[in-house]
Amino acid sequence: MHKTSRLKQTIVYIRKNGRLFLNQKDWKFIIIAAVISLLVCAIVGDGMFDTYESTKSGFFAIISAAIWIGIFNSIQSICKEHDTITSEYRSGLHISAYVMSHVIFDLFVCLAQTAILVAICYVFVDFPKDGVIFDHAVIEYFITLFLIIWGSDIMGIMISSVSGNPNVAMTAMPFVLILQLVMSGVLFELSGWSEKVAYVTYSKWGMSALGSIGNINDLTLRIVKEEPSLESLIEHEAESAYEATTANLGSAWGYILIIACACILISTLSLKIRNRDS
Amino acid sequence: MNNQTIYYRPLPPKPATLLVLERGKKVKVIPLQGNMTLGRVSADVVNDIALGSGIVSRNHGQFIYEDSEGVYYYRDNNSLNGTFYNGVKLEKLNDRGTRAVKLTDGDILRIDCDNLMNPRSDAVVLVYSTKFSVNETWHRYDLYDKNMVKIGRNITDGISLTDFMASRNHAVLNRADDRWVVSDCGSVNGLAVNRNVIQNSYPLNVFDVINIANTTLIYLGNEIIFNEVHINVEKQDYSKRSVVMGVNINEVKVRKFNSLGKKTLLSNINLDVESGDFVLILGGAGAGKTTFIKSLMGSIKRSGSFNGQIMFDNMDLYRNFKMLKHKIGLVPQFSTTRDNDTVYNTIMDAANIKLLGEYSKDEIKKRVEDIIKRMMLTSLTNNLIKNLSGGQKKRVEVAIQAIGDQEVFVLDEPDSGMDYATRVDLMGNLKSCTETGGVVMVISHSPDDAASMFTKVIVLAKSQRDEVGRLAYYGDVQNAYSFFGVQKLSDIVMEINYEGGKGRADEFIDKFEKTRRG
Repeated sequence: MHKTSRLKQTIVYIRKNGRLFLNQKDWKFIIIAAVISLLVCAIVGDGMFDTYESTKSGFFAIISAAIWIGIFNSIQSICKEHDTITSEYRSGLHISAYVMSHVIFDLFVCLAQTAILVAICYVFVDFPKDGVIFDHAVIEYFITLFLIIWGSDIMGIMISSVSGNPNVAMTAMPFVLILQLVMSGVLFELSGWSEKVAYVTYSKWGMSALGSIGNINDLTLRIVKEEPSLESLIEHEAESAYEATTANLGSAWGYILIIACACILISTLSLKIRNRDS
Repeated sequence: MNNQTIYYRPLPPKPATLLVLERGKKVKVIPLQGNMTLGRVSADVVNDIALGSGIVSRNHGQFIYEDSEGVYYYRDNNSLNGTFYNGVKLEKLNDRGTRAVKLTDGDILRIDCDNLMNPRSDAVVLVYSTKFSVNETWHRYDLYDKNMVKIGRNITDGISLTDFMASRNHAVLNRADDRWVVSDCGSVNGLAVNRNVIQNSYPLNVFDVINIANTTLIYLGNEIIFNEVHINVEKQDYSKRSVVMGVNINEVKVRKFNSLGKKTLLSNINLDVESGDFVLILGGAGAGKTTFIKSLMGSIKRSGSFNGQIMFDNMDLYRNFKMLKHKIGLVPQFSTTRDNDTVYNTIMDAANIKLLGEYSKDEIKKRVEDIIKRMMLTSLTNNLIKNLSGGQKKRVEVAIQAIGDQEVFVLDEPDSGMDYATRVDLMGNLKSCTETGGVVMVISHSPDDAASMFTKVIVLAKSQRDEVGRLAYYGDVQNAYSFFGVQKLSDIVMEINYEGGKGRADEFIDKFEKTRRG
């Protein structure tokens, strides 16, 4: 039985998402992103690239903001439409087209939010100019933050697909956020099972990417900065996660994309299972 | 008619005919006219349908016309080689013959050896049909020396069909290991072999009957024969009614909320819904109305189990769910449209999802504009859904369902929360959907507003004996009044309800069962 192709359906839904974005005033998410970026950057801006610890904390705060911005974009987008999806699925909707339309439309929203976040970061933080892969570090910061925001947005789509209604999705959101923050490896040292769980979090790979671009392994420890005479006594052990190499940065981006793809797959499967008899 | 494939909708039935296939002989289409006998050509026995094959007995079987039902039955007279009905050999019932089987369009009777995979050279196939015309042209397509044959509408390099409901690239036959395999090429209306819808590919056996919309193709080993169908959908006379949906529910069970077990909610519901029917579904509290419409939609499996059969266009809905589900549209009780989109874009998107694969953008636009006009939404096209009244929202939902040529619409309380004028208005819109042969089934708690519009009433009642919903009445509106002894349709619910009513459900369930048995 023939149905309208996935590609054509995806285009129909991207257009619909665009109209709903305007009519529902979803552009407020971009303003919220700007406010959050402003707050975070204003607080962490001074200490960035001053010492190892302050830079690491600064990156952690920026990543936390990026994850929050991404998830918040989409956490309610699908769960509030379950009845509509059921009806449309019966009429010939491809679930994969529906999910991809959200993923693709949100890509543009996330690009705008990333642009704002990076712009504000550059106002408050004096970032080093040289990048690891590109000549300009700003390109790498942009790509990293975009991947984190977009990936988190896709994770929001997944949570929304699995959740039966907006209440459930909003209840799940803080748990997911806390998991992301704890698993970044900044607040606590991870070992054993927690280290393995961290492999499926954006925060770990986001920290790895930003740490790599900022080459934070080369930054001075706070204690040495305060007491330079200790420099010869304290060895700053470089963390492999923050190695400023193309391979390290590329693999961090790659892991973020893999997690995002897994989220798309789970989202599609969960909606298919939910509507299997429709 | 333009050059687009149109969605499959069964044409109004023609007089019953029998397509007779004997190897080496010309295809014959014989009109069935009352009771007729079937047998071999013989000097001592004269048969209405006389066949030359030696495998046929002189007094082989008979076609029996049941006047009250307007249908034909077939019975084998305990012939030597017997008769296969849709691939299953008819078993002897008594000395007179086998049980009589009710014939529906597309049924295949075959006189052959027991191994149907290896048919005899003198085997005979009879196809019962209400689609064929006696004067219809039948073509032969030779498969000899070919490895691949395309099947499509108006093609030059393969089997060319005239049926507008066939896609231009509908199906393909491929020879694989000396066997022909038919595959659907993503057609609009799909294909069925021996009445089972084929999702991908199917290896053919001799005498397999392939249906592509209203065209019938029969595989004979070295050749395919097929009829030439000429349709003008606009000029079809849908006043001739045919059974669209045959409902035979033995039992429907649904998982209980607070336990692991399942509870039987519906039992023993048998009825036929005809094209053009506007059916009211009535029932007291807990009678299983929603479960009933879920069963009709084919979507009961997830929450329970379904034992029975819903025949849709002579195909089993549950077995061919993927293909048939698009043809039954549900307008649920609560709105499923997106509040922040406009009426026009909501309907246009629904049309694009369903039709963009086969229709041009201009055609889709025209369809959308037509349905907007029919549903009286013209002045509201630019309004957001959230700004519409309840009645207007329902009309949008009906338009969404109607845009894809659904044959059956099921509406769960579409008139709840509406004033009298809006209710009547909406029912009028729904009635208009039945004028081209569609079926509308409505659950309503205000049935008297539009009582004269309904052609049939289904009354479901919860039996106090076992707390299971059963059929208490199915028939026309006028007879419903006298059956229940009431003046208004809404009083029927009062008669059968236990809580707040007279509690006569079991009385009417039994009465209706007796009436049916005659």
